[in-house]
Amino acid sequence: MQRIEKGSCDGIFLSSVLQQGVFVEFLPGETVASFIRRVLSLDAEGVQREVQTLILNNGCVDDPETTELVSGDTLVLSGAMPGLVGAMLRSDSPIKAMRKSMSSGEDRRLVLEGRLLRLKLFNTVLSDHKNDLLKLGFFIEDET
Amino acid sequence: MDKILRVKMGSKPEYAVEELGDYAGLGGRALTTKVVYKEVPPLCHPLGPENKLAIAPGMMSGSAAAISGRISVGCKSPLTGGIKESNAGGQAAQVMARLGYAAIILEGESPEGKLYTLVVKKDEISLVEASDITGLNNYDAVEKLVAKYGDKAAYMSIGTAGERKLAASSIACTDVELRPTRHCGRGGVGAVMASKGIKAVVLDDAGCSMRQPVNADAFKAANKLFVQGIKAHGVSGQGLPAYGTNVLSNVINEAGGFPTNNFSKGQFPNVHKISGETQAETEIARGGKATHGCHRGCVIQCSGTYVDKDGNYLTKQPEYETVWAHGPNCGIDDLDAIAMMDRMDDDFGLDTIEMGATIAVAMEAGLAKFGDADAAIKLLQEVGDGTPLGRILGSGAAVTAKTYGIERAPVVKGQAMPAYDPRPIQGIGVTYATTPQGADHTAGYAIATNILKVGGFVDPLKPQGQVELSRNLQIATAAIDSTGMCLFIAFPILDQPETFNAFVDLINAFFGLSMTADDVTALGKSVLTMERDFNKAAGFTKEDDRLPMYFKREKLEPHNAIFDVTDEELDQVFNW
Repeated sequence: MQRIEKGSCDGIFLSSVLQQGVFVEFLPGETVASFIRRVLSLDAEGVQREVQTLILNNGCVDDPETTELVSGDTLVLSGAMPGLVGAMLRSDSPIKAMRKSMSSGEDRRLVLEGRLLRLKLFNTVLSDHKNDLLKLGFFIEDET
Repeated sequence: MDKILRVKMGSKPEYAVEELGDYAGLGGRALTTKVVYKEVPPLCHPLGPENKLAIAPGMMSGSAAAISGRISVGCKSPLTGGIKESNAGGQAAQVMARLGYAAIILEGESPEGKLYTLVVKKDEISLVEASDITGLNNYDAVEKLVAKYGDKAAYMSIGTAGERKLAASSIACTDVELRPTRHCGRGGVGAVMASKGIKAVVLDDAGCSMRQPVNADAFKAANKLFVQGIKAHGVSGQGLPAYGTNVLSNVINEAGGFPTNNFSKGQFPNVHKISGETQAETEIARGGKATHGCHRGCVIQCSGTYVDKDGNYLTKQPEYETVWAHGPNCGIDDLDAIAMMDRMDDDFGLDTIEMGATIAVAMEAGLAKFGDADAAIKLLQEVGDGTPLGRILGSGAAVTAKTYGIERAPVVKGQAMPAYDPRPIQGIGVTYATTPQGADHTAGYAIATNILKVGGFVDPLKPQGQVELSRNLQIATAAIDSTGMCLFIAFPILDQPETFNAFVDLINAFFGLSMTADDVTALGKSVLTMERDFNKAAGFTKEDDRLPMYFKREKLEPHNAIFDVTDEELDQVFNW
């Protein structure tokens, strides 16, 4: 893997790799919510306002405060989405029953060494927080 | 909007301006549905003289109310054989409403196959032989019309797909730049307009003024709060303006509900190449626009301008459904090719959802390989050229699948499904199955159900059935479709009670009403009841309210989901 940090890439490359997924370390016992607060430098209110769509291993996260991260997870962070489906994909959506056949996805974790997860940033979260990721530093696969 | 223009086509085309009568107080979908329900024999042929095409701006169109520029078109559909309402943005709704017409109703049939241009001005209505634009596609036809009738008018037109009466043909409405980019796309409404002998409608509101509210002060105050709420919300104020509706591609793909290669997979590996984020960056880098409104008075601005590699205008910013239909559903990851097909659809006058789904079916039939963008463009060109193959493709996904012996036709009531696979996202599958319109993601879109309490309050702490939610959503959507408001207002309304209150106050102040949630429910139910009754009389049964069987049999990765809502549950959606 190749480490990327501030000054080592341009904006278009950054946008592309963050959409495809980069590898980021998480802390022992860290939950989805605490990871977002730390990595994106947001308080709880900021998370609720800016990161309304949370997808973990292709399943929706409705309780980010108690969902603990596991090595190999793929976590997607997105703003609120338009459309009926966008609404039902929101974290703890009032119409979440409409997506009840989406599985939680533990069996879709990647095999990674150490406390690494694959993080994808989309839309306004991508534009507003890509520099937070650069500041933190992350890894990409060599062939990317 | 106190009158109706009724155009009777025949050996001697004529028109009459009528009072509203039974149609008073209605607009948009409510009005077009009532016209079709009351005046069209359900068993008529959709292209026969008994069918009618009703064009109606929303109840709030032509006023200063923000985002009130949707126009509805209704008829019996040549694609589904049932009732159809298809709506679009653009300038037509605002201009037609300011002209004072609640509806234009086209009836009869084309005299000797001739096409006419209907010109509607403040004090003048005329039917002009359209020999100068017959045989032209939308861009060329509109250019000639603008040269003749000016750049202040709004235009509705059909391309050659409509002239050939293809079941996937649309009616184009011009946008702010007088480009034919906003389409009443679904259900083959373009073919019905052609069958009436109308190539184009010119709407010129010179000398007319904006519709005035009954209570001006209350209206102004409510509109201000409404706009503030829309701009403050993350979806309508940030996500949609920055990325357009294609902001959905990445997320729906990640959720495993992004139909790929004719609904055979739920994820597309190269989604980042066609995502809204990449599309917006591409547009900006080339000198296009990533933020633009489809009509004056829009404060969301979810559209844009897509330019080619040399910076020349190619098309408006392709929407999510278009990007998906011509992209991942055909295995294509080339934004320029997708934009080219969007341009061709707009020009020929075709529904982008239907055409993308159809090309994917054709690919499954072996006419081209999934992922081959050049071959997809050639197939679409066949439609534009009117070849025998093109006429099959232009008749939609169901006809194409039948022609080539393909089971996997993702259609309900003959209409192609939009960009959400109903297996992992079953709630939308219930709406696809049961809406009287044929598979349609916008039929159950208005997610303000809890605030409106339409159909009963849904406790967010308890998992509710897909059926109950779909019912409530369809009722609320039918009501909002009648106002002329863009459905994207649903998000600030859902999340911000003060914006919902401003929305209700806006309507009440405009009409001098005291509308309640019960009134909204009653309006939505009445529209759906008429639509259901029309379809029943046209021969539809509960067996038509089903998804194709393979959605119950073929598991979709990554969730390995099938559509398992039972038929008995589906039959409960309209049980009021």
